[in-house]
Amino acid sequence: MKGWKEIFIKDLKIIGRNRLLLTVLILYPFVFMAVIALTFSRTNQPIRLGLINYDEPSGSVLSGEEGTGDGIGESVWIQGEPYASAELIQRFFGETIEIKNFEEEAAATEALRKGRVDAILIIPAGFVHQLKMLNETATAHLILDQSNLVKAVATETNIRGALSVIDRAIAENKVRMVVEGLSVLIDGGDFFGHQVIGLRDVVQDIDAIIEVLHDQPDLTQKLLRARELASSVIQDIGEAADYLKATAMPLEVAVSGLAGRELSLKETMVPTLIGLSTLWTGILCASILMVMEEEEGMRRRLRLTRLRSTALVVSKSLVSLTIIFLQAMTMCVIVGLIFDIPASGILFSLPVIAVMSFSSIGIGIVIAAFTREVTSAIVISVLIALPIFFISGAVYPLSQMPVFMQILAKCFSFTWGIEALSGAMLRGDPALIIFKYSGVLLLFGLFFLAMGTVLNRRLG
Amino acid sequence: MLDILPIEFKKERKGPLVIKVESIVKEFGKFRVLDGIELRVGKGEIYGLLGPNGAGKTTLINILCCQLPPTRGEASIGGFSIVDQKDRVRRIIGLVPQEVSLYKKLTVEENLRIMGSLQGLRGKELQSKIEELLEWAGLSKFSSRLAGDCSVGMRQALNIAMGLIHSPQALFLDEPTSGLDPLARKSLWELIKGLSGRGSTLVIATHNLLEAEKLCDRIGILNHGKIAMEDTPRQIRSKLTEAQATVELGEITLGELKEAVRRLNLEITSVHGKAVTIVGPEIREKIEIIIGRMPELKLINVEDYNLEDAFIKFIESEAKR
Ligand SMILES: Nc1ncnc2c1ncn2[C@@H]1O[C@H](COP(=O)(O)OP(=O)(O)OP(=O)(O)O)[C@@H](O)[C@H]1O
Ligand SMILES: [Mg+2]
Repeated sequence: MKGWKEIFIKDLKIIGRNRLLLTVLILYPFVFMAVIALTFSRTNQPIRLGLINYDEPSGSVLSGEEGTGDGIGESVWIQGEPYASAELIQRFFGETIEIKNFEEEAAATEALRKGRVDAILIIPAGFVHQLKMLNETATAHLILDQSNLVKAVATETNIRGALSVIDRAIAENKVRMVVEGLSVLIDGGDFFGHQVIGLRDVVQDIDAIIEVLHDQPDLTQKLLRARELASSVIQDIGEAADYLKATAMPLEVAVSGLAGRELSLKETMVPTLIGLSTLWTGILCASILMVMEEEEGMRRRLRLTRLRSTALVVSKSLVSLTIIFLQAMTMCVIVGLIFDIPASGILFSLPVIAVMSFSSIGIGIVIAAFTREVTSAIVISVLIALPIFFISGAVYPLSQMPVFMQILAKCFSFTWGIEALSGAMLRGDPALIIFKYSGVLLLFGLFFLAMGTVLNRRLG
Repeated sequence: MLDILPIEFKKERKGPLVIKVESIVKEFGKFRVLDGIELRVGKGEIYGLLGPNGAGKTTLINILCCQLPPTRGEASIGGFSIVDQKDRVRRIIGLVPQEVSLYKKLTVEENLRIMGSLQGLRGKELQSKIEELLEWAGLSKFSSRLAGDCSVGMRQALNIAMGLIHSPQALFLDEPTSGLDPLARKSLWELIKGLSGRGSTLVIATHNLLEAEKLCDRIGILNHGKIAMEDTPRQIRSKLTEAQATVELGEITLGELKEAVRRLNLEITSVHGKAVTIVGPEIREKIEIIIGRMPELKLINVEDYNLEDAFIKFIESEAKR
């Protein structure tokens, strides 16, 4: 392994003196990091919703009184308060949604097209009326700009969330009303405007009649059967009311993450960023440094020295590893200062970064065996890095991809690397799992490094 | 006035055999570049590999420097086979590539230093070798300049120095003076001549005839994959060159002269007023005959055909065959 040290020092010197290499290999990942950080820095922006409300009373003709034929402008009672449609939306959409009112659809659509609003919600006439009715479902119409799917999905989720709050309040109201009605059937009272006698009173009446007719066993028998029916109906109605309450009971979801703390969107980008810079720097650094020897014509000189191609590969790998590590450590320190990723998480990430960089470097060295100019090495490196990055699950969740893509993704070391880094930094995975991922990464790394070495040895 | 060349019959190599090439064939796919090269170069000898572009000079040098395997054939350098003992061969040879090869972002001195340390030189030995080469190549003043910032001439000098750092027994130079001005070229020639004086064996590929003539002990003309002609520079020159005679017409008409020239199988190449230039085989004898017949004709001179033109003619005549 003679001569690797000389090449190692020489390469560090050359990188330090070469503006292109400094930019591409060292500066660029930080630029990328800054761009991502700025991109995700204002994640709490409210969603701008264009609202067209056909359920508003026009002018003063209707004034919130019920029973006005077409049902426009009615109010619904929630938690003891009356709400007309506009108030309902205003009250329950809260701070996360900013409402802009529109008179007509054309203007709203234009605003959506230009990006001035993120979605349009159309409230049809009679919306609140339908909400109130026990036997009707109200439909609101949501228009999204699906040209940016991520935005569309986020917007839809938010608006659905807000609507579901209304939904829940109304449902609770309706259920309460039905349960109240049912209890009137048992105990008597006002049943949606009619005075009714409760079933319990009926049972009492039957008991009184049985007392009187005790010498007529035939009739008594018949009355006893009626009484039995009435009693079981009382019980059934009671149970039905309980079921109804339980069924319509709003489902409470208590959300917590695997990390045991709340993660911000920005923070979830950290493993991706560090993984990406490992991939980027590893492939590019190794391939550029190898090909540079060829391009400068030094490869044929080196062949006449004590330096064997294996030593050359080792030396280039070590330079790349050094740069990747310095870069990753700096990134870890920066994100460590910004977020509260636990120290153990960062500590666990370091071996992951090391084994992950083996395969990036290995791929770079394989690329170098097929190229002769630095520019083509850069182009090929980027062409290879991009799909590896996109398939890894760093951009779109792996579990949502078609099965064959999931299998394919598992064939790339980067996927495992992202998984391991997320485990270490965001999920607080136990060391054993991280080591398992690292083992897989190590195998990948050794494979690519061996392949790169063999291919380059062929070149002498 | 006749230009009489001192004839030198030094056809054989001098000193013990260092480079021995036997029936080297090189094919790139179906394209045969070298077609059975035979070559012998002795210790301390400067051998010129002459040939037009694409003749295969670089290919041959690359094969001898173990950069490229031959398709067939064998060669040995210092007794070691370039096929089976590559590592031994690599240790005793030096290469000055056709394209200047150096680290542009290292200084002149750093370039020499890394080559030296990769060759196993250390400490004082390395330092003194670097200083010696800087001095030799006239680069002492520029030792701390980045190689990429050096002039073409300086880079070429460094290119050669880098091949010399380990004092190789055999040095292969591939067109070492291309791109140099006449002054720089001359001083490079001197540097190269000095090397052979120290016992190094040199093979220089070039298509510059003058260079080959000034520098080399022997020249091999590489054409169509073979060494088409091999001899000392003077012999090559006398084999290749024809003379040309210039006469003044006097009372003779051009038509009469043309007729006489045609009968003797000669050729008129140019007419400037009354001065006519005639070329052809055995021109010296034949022009005497013509003047004998036409005493009004005045012989101005008989001089050697330009060597470069002769070389072109030779290559072209080979191509026709
Ligand atoms: N790797 C290769 N693949 C295919 N053909 C090649 C290869 N290397 C050289 N050749 C061909 O072999 C022939 C000889 O090339 P070579 O470079 O040896 O010529 P040369 O005599 O050095 O020419 P020059 O004076 O221009 O340097 C050329 O036709 C060239 O195209
Ligand atoms: Mg050449």
